[in-house]
Amino acid sequence: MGRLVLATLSGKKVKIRRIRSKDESPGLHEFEASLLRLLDKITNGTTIAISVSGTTLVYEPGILQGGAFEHDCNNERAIGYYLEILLCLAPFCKQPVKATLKGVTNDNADPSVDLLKETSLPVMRQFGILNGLELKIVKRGAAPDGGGEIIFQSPVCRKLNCAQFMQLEKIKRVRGMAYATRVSPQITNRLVDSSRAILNSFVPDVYIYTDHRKGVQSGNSPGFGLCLYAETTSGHILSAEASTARSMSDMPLVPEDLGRLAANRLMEEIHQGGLVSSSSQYLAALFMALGDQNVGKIVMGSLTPYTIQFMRHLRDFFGVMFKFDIITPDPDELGGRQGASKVLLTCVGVGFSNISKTIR
Amino acid sequence: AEKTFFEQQKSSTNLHRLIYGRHEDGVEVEEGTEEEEPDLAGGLFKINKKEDASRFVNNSRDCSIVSRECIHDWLNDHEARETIADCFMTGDWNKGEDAK
Repeated sequence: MGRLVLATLSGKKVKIRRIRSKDESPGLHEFEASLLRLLDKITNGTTIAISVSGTTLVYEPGILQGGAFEHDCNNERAIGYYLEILLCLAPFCKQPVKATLKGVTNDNADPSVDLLKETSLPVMRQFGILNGLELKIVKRGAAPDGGGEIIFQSPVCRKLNCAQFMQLEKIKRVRGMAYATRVSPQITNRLVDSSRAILNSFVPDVYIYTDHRKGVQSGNSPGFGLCLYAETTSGHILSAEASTARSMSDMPLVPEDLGRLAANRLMEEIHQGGLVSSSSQYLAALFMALGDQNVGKIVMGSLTPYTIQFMRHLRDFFGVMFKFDIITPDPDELGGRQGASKVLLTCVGVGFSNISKTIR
Repeated sequence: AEKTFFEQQKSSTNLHRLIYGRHEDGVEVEEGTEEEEPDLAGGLFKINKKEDASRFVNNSRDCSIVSRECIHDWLNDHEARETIADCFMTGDWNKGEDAK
């Protein structure tokens, strides 16, 4: 996926061979085909050729058009999977994007729409994508049958800011969203109570919103979950979530357990630390690489495999390499008990400017 | 100080090599960064090879969130709680800073 995004941004043709060629179900899956259709909608003049067996893909990107469009996301993956692509591409379109995505808004595998709203959008704002950046959840739809709907709006920007965030910060408050569809409204309260037990022992300022949907707004499947985010003194966000699974067997189903799981995950995330949540590291890395021709610096927690892979792609497509410095907080120092080692990422942006944006 | 500088230098080059290197797979870094096959030809899916080994097919998703194993019980494990105490406003502050 990362490669398709970068190919679109750099305008390079990409050929992907041997897609699951040794797998039991070889070739592209349905949800990937759906993703390609989405890419086709946001661009103009894209050619996509897939071999008969589905194991080879040739993708030749056109220009990023943007505008208003609607997309039915495959229910196999949550909307978050598709939305992540839009987050990467939307600021560089010709026209402001207004996308309506339909499908599964929350599941336990992909980042939920709530998480992206509270985590990735602030990251974008830090890079100067400000006015009119909006994400609205019209309908919720839990896995597996979905039925949710969101509206994502993004402005176009000509150039990205250069970000320099080097100081570790304190967490001043924790906010959250407990959601439930097609189940008892009591469940959201149980989620909140159990997670607060953990959260309040660390920070006094905790507030968790509840969002219980019913009727047409609640999609086709029952489900519930909790998305938590911790905000630092200058507005950086660390987040974590837990949600009911697709198959009801492999996850705790008692709301109390789920609430505790979400809270524990948030603490784990804080332990890893940094100024960018692990789920949007790749986005920050992308914007750093594409940013102003200046030195950008950001402290992150330990890098996720996804981010690492994304950075490799960044090197391949844009020739941007990052420099890594490991920062290890010293627990004996005053104010040094700040969890695991952090990584300071440094890179010089390529000065990517949005050539397709019309200048009035 | 010199020593720590060189140590730091070493560990960061290791990370650099781990991410951008082609064949230096043996390098271990104390970070949570897992060893990955640097081979990009594995297809659209970066975890292709791992998936082959484990028998769970169609799990080869490219997903930006990692479901971190929760190693600690953050409510009752006091040692773990200590390690992140200063991440919060309520913790100790560095000398230069102050709660505003």
